[in-house]
Amino acid sequence: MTCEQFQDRLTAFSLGELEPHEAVAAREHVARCSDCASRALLDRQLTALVRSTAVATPDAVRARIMTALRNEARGTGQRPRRRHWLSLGAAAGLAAAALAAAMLLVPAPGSSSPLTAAWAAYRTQPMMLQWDDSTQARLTAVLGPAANTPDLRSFGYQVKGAGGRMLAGHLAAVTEYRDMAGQRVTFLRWKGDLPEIASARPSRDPGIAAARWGPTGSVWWASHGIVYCLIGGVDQRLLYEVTEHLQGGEGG
Amino acid sequence: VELAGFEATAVPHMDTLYDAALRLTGDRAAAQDLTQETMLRALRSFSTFRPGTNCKAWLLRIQYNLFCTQYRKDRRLPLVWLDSPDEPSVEPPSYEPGPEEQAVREMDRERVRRAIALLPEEFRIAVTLVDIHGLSCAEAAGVVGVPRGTILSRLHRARRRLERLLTPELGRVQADDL
Repeated sequence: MTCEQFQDRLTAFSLGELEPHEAVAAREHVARCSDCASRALLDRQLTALVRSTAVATPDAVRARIMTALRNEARGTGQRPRRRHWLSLGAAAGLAAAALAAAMLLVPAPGSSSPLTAAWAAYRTQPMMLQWDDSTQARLTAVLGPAANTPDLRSFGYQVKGAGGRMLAGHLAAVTEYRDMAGQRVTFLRWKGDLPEIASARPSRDPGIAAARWGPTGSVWWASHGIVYCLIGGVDQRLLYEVTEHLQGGEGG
Repeated sequence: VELAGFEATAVPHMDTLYDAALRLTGDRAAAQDLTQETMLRALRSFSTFRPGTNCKAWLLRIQYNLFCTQYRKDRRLPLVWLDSPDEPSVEPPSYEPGPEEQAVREMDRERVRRAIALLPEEFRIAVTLVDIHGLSCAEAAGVVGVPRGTILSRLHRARRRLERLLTPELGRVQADDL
């Protein structure tokens, strides 16, 4: 083997990925050529240098991921039939939403705000709901008619789940819809004051706030002490139309 | 889904996924989301993982596919990230530091990271999978979906380029070593 041939095969030689007969020839060459021997040493040092740049997962990120995994494991364990719709629309929608939320980091309401918790839930826990009579009764006791699941089939939205969840200490009614394209739209209601975030754009209607983070939009408003919030990876105008429909539905 | 088996088999590779995600996306927030989404997707399809095969390679393939379909267009260039206290540099667990590694430990890792980050994507991915995370060329080929020889040639060209970029660092190692 010549020096040129050896140096062409240097990376494969270092990695032990040469064919056996070539590996023998390369070892023979490097044993009697100090030039190529030092090239091989340099290659080893380079690899060590490159390898030393690996970083570990920050603790907070690890904790967040473990929580998401536990929720996922618990969720699918209880509701195996949910998987088919989830794996289609939701996985794509979730990733888009996660990416959007990663880009967002706008001045958000405090972490104690149900709106923040709603966004976090939308990002990390797409499949969270199950029909449950006792939860429904609790929701109705707290939220009254706002706990009911609105019919949005005129927008092409099918209900995929409904239930309750705690958002920053507030019991919220949550309804999950899918549009025809499989996009998620989540509708949340909780008792409280309208949350303000700095980046929210005032809309054409007073009392409605909206923010868009990447492909995911959200609209929220308050009425009679209940906050309503729509989050979805759909066109923002459509969210307004749904909002108008819902406000009409509650009689103003 | 049974989390216990997944925790024992897949979760130990989270550092690898996070590091590779940083190099793929060039962005911390995107890397965190890509890592999480990869883990969730892996958990959902854990029944398709064949025990006895390389779980790290299986996870990296899921991550690479996700990156291609959903994250690539958002990559920010060039990737430069600083050592931060909550993101400590680590050697991969299987790695036993030799004398060369002792010598380079004091070096400016940031400069090396930057040199890797500035490689063309195909080269950078090959370096990430094989040199940093220890996949074989065949496994890396399975992740990226190209022949093994292509990975080998990308690695070879990447290393020669890094060699030129990092000559001062390598020179120092050699001088200290000899």
